[in-house]
Amino acid sequence: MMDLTKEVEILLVEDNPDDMELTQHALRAGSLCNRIHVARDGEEAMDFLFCRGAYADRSFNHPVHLVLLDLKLPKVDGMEVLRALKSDPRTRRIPVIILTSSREEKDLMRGYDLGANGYAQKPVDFDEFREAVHQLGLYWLVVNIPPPPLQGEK
Amino acid sequence: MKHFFSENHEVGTSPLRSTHIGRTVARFAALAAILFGSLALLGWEFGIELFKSLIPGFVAMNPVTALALILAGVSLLIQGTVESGWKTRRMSQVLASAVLIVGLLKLAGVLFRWNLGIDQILFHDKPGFVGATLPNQISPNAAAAFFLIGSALLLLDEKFRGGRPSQFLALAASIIPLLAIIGYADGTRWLYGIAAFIPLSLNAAMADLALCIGILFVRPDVGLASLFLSDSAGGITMRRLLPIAVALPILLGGIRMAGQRAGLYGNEFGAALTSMVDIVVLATLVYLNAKRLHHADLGETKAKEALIRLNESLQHRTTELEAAIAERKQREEELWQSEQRLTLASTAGEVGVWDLDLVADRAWRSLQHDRIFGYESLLPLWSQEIFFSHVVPEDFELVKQRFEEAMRTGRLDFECRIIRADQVERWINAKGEGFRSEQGQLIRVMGVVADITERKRGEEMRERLAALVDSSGDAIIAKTLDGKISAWNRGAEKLFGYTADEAEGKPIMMLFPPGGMNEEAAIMARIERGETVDSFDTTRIRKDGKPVDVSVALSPIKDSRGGIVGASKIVRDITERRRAEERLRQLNAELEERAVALKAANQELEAFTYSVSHDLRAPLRHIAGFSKILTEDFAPHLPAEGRRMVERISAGARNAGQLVDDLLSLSRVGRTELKLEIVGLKGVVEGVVRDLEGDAAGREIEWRIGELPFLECDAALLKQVMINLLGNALKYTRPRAKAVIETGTQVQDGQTVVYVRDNGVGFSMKYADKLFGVFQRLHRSEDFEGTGVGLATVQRIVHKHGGRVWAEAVLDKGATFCFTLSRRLENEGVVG
Repeated sequence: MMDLTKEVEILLVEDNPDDMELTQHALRAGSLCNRIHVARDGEEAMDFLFCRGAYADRSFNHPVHLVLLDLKLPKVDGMEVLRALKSDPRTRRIPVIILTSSREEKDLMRGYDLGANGYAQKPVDFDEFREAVHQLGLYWLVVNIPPPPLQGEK
Repeated sequence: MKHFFSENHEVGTSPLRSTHIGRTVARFAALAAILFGSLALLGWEFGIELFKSLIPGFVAMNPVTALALILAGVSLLIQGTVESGWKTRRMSQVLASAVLIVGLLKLAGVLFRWNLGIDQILFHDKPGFVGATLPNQISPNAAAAFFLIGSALLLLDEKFRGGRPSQFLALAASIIPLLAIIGYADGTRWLYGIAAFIPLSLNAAMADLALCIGILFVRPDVGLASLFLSDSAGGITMRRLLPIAVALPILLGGIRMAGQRAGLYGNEFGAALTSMVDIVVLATLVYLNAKRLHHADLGETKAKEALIRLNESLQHRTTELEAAIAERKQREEELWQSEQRLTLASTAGEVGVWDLDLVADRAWRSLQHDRIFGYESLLPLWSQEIFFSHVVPEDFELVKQRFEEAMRTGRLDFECRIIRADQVERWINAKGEGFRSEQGQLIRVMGVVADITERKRGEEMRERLAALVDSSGDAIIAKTLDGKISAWNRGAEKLFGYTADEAEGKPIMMLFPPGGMNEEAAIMARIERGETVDSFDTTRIRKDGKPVDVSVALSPIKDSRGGIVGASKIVRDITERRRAEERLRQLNAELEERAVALKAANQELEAFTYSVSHDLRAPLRHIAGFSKILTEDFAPHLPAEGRRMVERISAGARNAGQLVDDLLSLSRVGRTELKLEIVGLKGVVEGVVRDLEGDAAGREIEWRIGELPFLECDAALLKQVMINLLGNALKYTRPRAKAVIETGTQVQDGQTVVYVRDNGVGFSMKYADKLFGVFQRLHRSEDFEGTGVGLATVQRIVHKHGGRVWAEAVLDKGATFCFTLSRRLENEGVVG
């Protein structure tokens, strides 16, 4: 098992188990990484990213490299998580890709306004989905240079 | 004594007459003296005894005495008759001095016993000169008399202490001749002769006396003479009594002496008798005189009283007369003022006054009158003819009629137009009143004329305005400051139902619904400040009690001085407007409701589609995903049939996903606002063609892109349209070896039509009306996939732009889809 405190590269925020499984499948198929953690709702995502609650052991100095954020989440909505993330200097730098079935213009606008780094729609076709995820991972984990860690403890 | 000699007794009513008498007396006296003297001289010269001594046997006048008498007489004559020049005065004085000297010398001679021989100067050698015992001499009495007379003459006009000495001297001198005359009458010798001297001759005595009287009378306005000659009671008395008082004793003395000498009675008796007679006669005379005077006096008193009464009545009359004069003066004054005022009034009022003499056909006019007719100054003549020559032809008949009426009634009053001398047309108003002769003929008309052009024009203007107001469809009402209706036009009658008679004078409040006081008070407050009240909506009550919605506007009415005297209201019935407004409000309300409902519905739809886009896709994705995984990961474990089944599951999910996308896109078209911009269709088409390259891979396709215009439209939606149309064309040309897809424009009925033509399988026109229906398909899905939403979307987009979309096709030959967008621009010449 990976060390949650240090080694997570991707945080997948997804409430739907099917979607979760499919996404994980797609990520693994690309052989990009095994270090995925899943948060099942907004609150869990926040706790994880803000190093509190159940994840109090985590540190801001070891941020994830990518957050894949679904929008329709129980407890705390995706947009809320995004806003919280992007408005806190400790977590602002973390790349967040909104991964959702909605292609609604207003979600697009709001997402980008809140500082999302990207927006991807989950296609119905699984092949396409797989390809999209692959491309995402390729870019964000390989090509993209992750943000430098913050100095000092949380 | 002084009284006698004093100046100026009142000489009564005819001073000239008494002066004349006095002077005449003096003249006669002087002449008498001259006569006696001259006669005596003649007597001596020619020896006439009569002349010498008057009564024979009496002593003869001494010649020198005679001479002195003459000289004195001449002196007196000069003084009395000739109006004084100083030369004559001197001469008289010289003569008087001569007389005086003669007398003085003789007296001196007698007193001092000098024999100067004066007496013998003249005629001494004539016979008779030397008398029986003595030669003729000037008697000393005569000398004394001469002395006094001479002095009196010399000092005739001298005054001494308010008195005249000559009067005193003359009176004194008169005693000597008087005594002598009395003596001659009595026979008392010593009275006229002194001692041994020659006595004073009778004629000399008389002459002397005359001289004395003459001297007294030669100045008839002074002294004794003036009193004697005056018309007063005193004068009358003197004239009556004095001569008798002097003459009577002499006469009685004479008679007595004669009687005594005749031995009729003795001395004592004679004296007593004389006294007796004296007393009786004088007393009687005095009494008579007194009686006369008394009566005269009474008469005088009565006369005086009568005079006083007369005077009083005269005074009274004078007062009355004065009053009458004063009154007349006042009346004159008033008349003058009145005339002034008339002139002023007629000038100020620009009223001309005229006075026409009908008989002579001439008229007097004031200057203002002629001015009214356009003349700067008064014409020399004016007549009816001249007047009529100014009247405008149209008014001729009327004026003539009026004149004729005036002849009957005596009253003239008309208005007419005239042409002035300066050719300007004016309105005049002439009024006049006639005066009849005794026979009842109208002979004179007097009146005024005024230029009433301004008033007439004002009237015309007012009439026009009144007609304007009256005919207006709106109600125009005027009210006074205390709220009474003062004007009411026909519009008001129609609106409120009251006639003008019913409304005028009534309070404006009768039009107000109950509780309208405040509104009215507020309005009137603003009016009184001179503000205009803009139209506002309110309610009024008609005559039948029904309320009526009106719009009211007010403005203040000002008089000529600018003071506010009332308000004018324009009231418009806005019932119709209200109704329309109400309807509009209702409609608006409904619309609001509907809009609200619509909004709600839209929001529901939003939520719905959102939900769909999320929730519906997810399961589809799962189906598709797991199917795929199944196929891939478990391929060895699945028979071919199994794999086929799974494939069908995947396809199903894919289709469903596509359907969801299409539906979403269709609904989005309906929801969103058009974002119009100028879009180059060519660019859009080329872009779509590029996007479709993937689908077109491996096929031979000829894309013919013609002249495509710039359109004003929503770019995204237009792209959608082209995607759908071109995508369809691509799809339905699949069976063809070479697909020809043409895009271009045509002009039909002045509109730009965009078309997409393909040589695909086409369709039967029988089903053309189903073409654009949602989910309507004209082909089997195993032949051609599709959701049946694409064309519905195209139609919705085109309709949203206000355009039209239609299609023509021939089965198995091809199809052409056309559309127009109502808002479009002409092709700006961009060639692709």
